[in-house]
Amino acid sequence: MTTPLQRARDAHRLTRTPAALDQRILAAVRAPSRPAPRFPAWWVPAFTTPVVLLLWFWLHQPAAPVAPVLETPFPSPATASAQPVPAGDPLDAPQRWSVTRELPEPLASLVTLWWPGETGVQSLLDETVAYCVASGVQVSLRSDFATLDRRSEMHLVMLAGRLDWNVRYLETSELTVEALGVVYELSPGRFSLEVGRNQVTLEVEAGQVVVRAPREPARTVVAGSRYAARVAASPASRPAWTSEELERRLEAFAKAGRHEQAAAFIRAAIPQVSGALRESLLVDLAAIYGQHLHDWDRACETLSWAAREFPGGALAEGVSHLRDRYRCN
Amino acid sequence: MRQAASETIAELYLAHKDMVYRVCLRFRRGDPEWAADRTQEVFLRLAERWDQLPEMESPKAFVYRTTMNVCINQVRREQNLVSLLNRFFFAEPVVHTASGTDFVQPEKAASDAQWLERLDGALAQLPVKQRVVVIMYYLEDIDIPEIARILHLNKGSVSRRLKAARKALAGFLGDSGGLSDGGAQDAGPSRGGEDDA
Repeated sequence: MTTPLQRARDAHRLTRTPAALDQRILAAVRAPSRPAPRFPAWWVPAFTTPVVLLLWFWLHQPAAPVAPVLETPFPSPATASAQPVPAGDPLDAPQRWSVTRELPEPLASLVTLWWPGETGVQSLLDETVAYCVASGVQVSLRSDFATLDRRSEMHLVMLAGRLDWNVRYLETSELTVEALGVVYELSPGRFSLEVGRNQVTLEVEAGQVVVRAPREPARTVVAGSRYAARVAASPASRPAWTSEELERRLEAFAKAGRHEQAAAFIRAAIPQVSGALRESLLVDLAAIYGQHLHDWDRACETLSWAAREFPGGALAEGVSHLRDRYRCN
Repeated sequence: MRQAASETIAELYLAHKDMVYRVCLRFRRGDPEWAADRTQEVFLRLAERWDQLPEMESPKAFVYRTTMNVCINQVRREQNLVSLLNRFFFAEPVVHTASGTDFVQPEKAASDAQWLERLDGALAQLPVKQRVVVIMYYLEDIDIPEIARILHLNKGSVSRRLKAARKALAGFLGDSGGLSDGGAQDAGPSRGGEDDA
């Protein structure tokens, strides 16, 4: 005998979404912009009206005379004595530094530097782009591969290439560059950072750079000095990576579920290997990004790198398959 | 790669849209507008939080949990607002639930819509937490361990909620109804009326 519940359940299981709803939701899901915030429309006037009123009252207060407090980092004796510094001078005001990541196309990792009124866009993959963002501020990155660390926008990971740094004012103390496991804390100054296969060379012309190497106390490299950091896996101290050893390391990472560390390990190992092993590592790195870290942007970047470096490689078919799977095109 | 993520969500939508929609329908007395809005909310929320999908969790379980959370939150929000307005404007709160006599004579119901209407009336009387497990267990055919895993509860809690729900739904079941007392603890594959057989 059919019970009420059975009949209701049968009817329930036959329920389908209306076609109009399908179109509506698919359009919303595929829309490039984020959905509108879900709060009632009356919140807008309820919250904006008091803000507007407060602003109006504040703006209509008679402004008290305020002495200019902006300091100039390099005041000339003539101007520092009598003339106040114009507050809006873009040349002397400290520059706001922030880095955001944009990916308008899957083939390039773009780093956008934002300043009031100025924007610089730099492709870090196989390109040399130098730009002047403001007077006295110049950053030049020449890198085979450099990318922003996903944990922080103020942390740049360089795998190879050269960084020329010429910055007079920087309103942050958090900007760091990591190369071959060594972290360099950037500050205003003038220096260059050359990332080679097994060695990072730092030459400081002005200012100073704090260097933090693993298992070593932090050291400060001052103007006029040079610092070279060699990776532990240099050819002199240990044999080159073998595919078996790399496979064993990666398997250990995978078993422990430490995919972030596995990706970092591969990134550090890639500059030290070449040929088929390098191609294999690139594919492994892309697979880790795509399957475990769900970072399809980086997966596509890495696959593009592999396709460009090994156009007819043994794993070209696999690279193409992964590019399709991650919808890189 | 937002495009890739949106395509993933679109595929997810096509795979689970009916399930999400009908669960939302059952949550709010078969209101199609409400269910459509909640379905859209579920998938937009999934699109926002897709990168938070736990590695070992199946997408279907993630969809289920998101659906339940969206429905519960919305029902609670509406209950709070409705009860507040009722207290303000009316002497006695108006509760829109089906009366007990709505479902004591199931033989009079002829069509699927009527059956669903009766079921919705019965479900509307349940607290939302019980409603969730009843929908999942009796309508979606998900067993108790799986419900516990999806909702991050222990199996005992799920069983207790089912037991409490059965009492509240006794009028809908009657003597020949589909929710007997025997099934929740052992959660066998047969549900509904088969439990009474």
